[in-house]
Amino acid sequence: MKMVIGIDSGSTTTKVVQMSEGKVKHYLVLPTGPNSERTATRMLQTAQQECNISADDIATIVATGYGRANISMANKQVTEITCHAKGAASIFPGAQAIIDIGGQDSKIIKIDSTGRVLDFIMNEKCAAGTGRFLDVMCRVLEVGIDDIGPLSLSSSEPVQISSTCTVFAESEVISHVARGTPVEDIVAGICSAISARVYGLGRRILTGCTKIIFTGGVAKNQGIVKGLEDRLGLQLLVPPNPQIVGAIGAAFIGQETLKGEV
Amino acid sequence: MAFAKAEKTFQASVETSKFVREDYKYMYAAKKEGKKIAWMTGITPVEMFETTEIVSVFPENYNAFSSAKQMGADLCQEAEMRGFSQDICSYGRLCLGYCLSGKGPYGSLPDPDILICTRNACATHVKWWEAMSHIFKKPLFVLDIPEIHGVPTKAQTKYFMTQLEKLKEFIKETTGQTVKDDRLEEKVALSQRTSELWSELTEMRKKSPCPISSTDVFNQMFLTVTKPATKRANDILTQLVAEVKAYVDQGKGVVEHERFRLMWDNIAIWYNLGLMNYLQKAGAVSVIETYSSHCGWGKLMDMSQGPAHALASKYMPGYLNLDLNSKVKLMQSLAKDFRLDGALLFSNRSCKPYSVGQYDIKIALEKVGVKSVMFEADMVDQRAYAEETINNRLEAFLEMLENDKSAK
Amino acid sequence: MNDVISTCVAYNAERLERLKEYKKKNNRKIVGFLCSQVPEELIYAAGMLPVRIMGSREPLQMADSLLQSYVCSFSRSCLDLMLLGKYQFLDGIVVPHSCDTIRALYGVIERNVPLGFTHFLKYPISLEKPEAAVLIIEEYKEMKEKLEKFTGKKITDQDIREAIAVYNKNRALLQKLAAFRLASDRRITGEEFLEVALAGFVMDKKDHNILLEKLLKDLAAKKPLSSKKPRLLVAGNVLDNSGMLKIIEDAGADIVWDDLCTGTRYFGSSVDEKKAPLEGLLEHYLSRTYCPCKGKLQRRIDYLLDMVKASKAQGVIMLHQKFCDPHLWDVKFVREEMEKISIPVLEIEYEQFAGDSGSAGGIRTRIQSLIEMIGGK
Repeated sequence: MKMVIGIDSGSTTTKVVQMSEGKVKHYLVLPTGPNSERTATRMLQTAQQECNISADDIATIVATGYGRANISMANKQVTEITCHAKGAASIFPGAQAIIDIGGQDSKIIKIDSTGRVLDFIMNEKCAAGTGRFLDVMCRVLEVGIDDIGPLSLSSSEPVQISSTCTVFAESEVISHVARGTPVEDIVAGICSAISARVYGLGRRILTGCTKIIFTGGVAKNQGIVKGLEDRLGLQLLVPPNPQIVGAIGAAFIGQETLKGEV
Repeated sequence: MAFAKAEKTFQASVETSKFVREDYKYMYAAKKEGKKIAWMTGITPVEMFETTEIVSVFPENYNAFSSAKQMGADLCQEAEMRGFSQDICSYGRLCLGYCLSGKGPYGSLPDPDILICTRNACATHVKWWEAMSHIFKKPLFVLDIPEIHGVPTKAQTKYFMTQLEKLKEFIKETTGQTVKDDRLEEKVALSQRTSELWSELTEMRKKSPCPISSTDVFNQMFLTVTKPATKRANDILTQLVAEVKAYVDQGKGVVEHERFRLMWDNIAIWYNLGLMNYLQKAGAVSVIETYSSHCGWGKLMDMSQGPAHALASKYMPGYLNLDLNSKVKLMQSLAKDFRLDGALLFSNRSCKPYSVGQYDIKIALEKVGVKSVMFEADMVDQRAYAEETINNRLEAFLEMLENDKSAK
Repeated sequence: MNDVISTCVAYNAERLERLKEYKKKNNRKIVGFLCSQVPEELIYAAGMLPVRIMGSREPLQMADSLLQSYVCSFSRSCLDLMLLGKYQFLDGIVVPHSCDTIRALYGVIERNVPLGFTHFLKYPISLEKPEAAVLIIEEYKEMKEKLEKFTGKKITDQDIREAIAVYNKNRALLQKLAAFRLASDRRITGEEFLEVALAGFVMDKKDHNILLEKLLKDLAAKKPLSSKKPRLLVAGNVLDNSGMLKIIEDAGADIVWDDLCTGTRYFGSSVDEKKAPLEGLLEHYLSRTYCPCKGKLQRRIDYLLDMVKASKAQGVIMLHQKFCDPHLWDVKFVREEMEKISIPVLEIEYEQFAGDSGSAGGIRTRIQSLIEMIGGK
């Protein structure tokens, strides 16, 4: 049984997916650290061990993400835009757009029914609207990243975080803490700020879409899911493992290449 | 950040480089000899000045030159250190940088005796030229051209012509030089010839494969911007047109397999013209630029009512001086005429007239089936250029176009 | 707080809702304008209410999809409100070529906001040229014709004269009110003055005049209390809310004069009612336009120096939107000239929807430093 490997070498985490006959057989998510090539290599070795397969069982490897150029073992490198599109469409056929919020960037991608990219917009020059924003705030509030979602949903009066700059927003949060504002209200305000930023970025592309997928590590955050859903006026489709969608897409592209479809 | 150098393809380009070097040598020598120096903004009727002994100097050309030598960021910093905001136009900052520090490729430019500013690109030009007038304590003439909605009104043309006469008086008062009408006719005729050749060149870029890249075209702009009314420019362009025509006859293009025909919108990224090499590797060629072909330089003039009117027809209605609806119309027609597959919308932090409205242009191009990618940077300040980010975006864009082609 | 001032503050806080109500109640068309250079009297003479389009302090929701982040927050905020439908009551807009951003903003609004009537004034920049005056009169005539076409009614010279009379009264009253700040005697603060001035942009000048007359009477009767606080002049661009002025005055200074688009640059002089209406409007526009977007660096520097001397200001705060090219170009030169007469200058750049806590803390510190430099506590 031949395996196809998708590697998404992101700035924060590396995702390795093994796929066979269109189905995900195994996946790993680990921090990238300073050496993206070494991390990817190690993760692939671990994956092979855990699936009891050797290098001969691997038909092809496709790499995506910011570190993709460094993954020397990859047979092909494709941008994360194209991979996210492919991955999302495979999980939710008929999806029309993807919102992806990663560690250091956010992107909105419009796709057709085959997962082909029709349009995209990215924000990667500013931490606001990315996972980094959440990380900074978690540190200030001394709250775990996994607690943000539930806390946010329990708030009845979210505060308004108006600063567009992460550094200034951090100051706003500190002021709220000093004032004794309930932490759930602050957290809810933070989630609202991120959702607003991403919605503002992608509004034009998302207009008219009814089936929208939310991917990336931040998609696990219920507070942000709600923030986006409220603004979009619909329910978002969140995959069970929103972080690996890019790697899944890469694997699919690998599969298509083998079949001569690309 | 080391950018790849752009490649020059045509023999005529070598001639242009020679012309540039000699021109710079000449202007410093001319200053020493006591000739009058006029600093002018990019889209100025240089034809008038060619009828006199005044030496026309274009700081914007020196800006592009300095930036291509990777000196943009340092020179901008020289201005910032002396109290100018980092958020004002980088052309202005860079220029003030070499004016105040003397650290340009050849030092500063030879000091001006007079300053000539046109308002057909932006209002920032006026602020910048006023700043220089203040610093150098030299007289300034502003040739004010209001925004044109499609075509100039009679009142606007009259306004231009009135000021043209006043400009002649200004030149006489400040330099003792006279602009003579018969000489002006001669110069305008030479300029028209430059425009004819430039138009021929642009026309040939409609062919597939496109025979000349934007890099080569950007490098030739020295001729249309600063020397349109010279025989030497005519000669070089004649040579270039012949060389490009030979390419067309042989079916030769910038790339062997032209996969994607693209448009470049906004000013060139002067420190990274090699970006085009990157695109060309993927078979993507920029076949037309609004900057090189539609800002007024190299435009065919209306010669039916005398030289002053001809200049009005060239210098009033450039792309940067139009209302947004007119810009959109032009972009959509370029998409059709040049059979574009996509557009590169360079969102230039330093140029509001060019960049603000680009989202509307993106939407309008989409309506005629042309996809575009927008990326933000600056035209001469390389500190605002995030290479990985931009490359990633362009790569995703090319993948999108590639998949579109496969789907068809 | 004086009840006229609190009326204005309350009105400004809900200005868009109030305008919606006004329209319903009065069945009168409303035309929005940007900048201080539009001849509002022509709109008024056409029987419509001219209303200044302003932004808010709310974070953006929609404008980012049409305007880049390096465009000033005022423009983005205005567009955002329009895209959100908050300006739905507008029947039209008139926008002048003031700065390059406003010029480009008009195009974006025209293409993306449904409006019955849109007009752009293709103003020249060289206001000192006699031929520019000719062109501006042509623009006025074109605007007048377009307004007539829109309303179906002719605008007579008499209509314009009557409008000019109302507007002149407004300008005169605002000039009187502005002068109260000079005394620096706690009768009206810079913040309060701006609130009163802002209210005038979103109501009929006749109503504003009534408010102003009452306020002037109240202030004349109020007991002056001398203030030893440092006297500041605030020079900047379009300030559509008083938050920044409050921060400045709370830090321990008195704003005794301003050079703002929404302040003295708006009402600085009056239209000569003896002239033909369009000529009078033209002369008024040419004489009081010291806006940096029209260049004329030395003229502005001289004007600011005169104002500093006349108002006995001890320091200048240059307060403008981030990315405002016309203002940014002037800063270094204004600073140099002020230094020659030993007037310290503080530059504050802001984005109008930035939070109160974050950048405001830094701004407060800098204002305090300026105050300490002047010698106050």
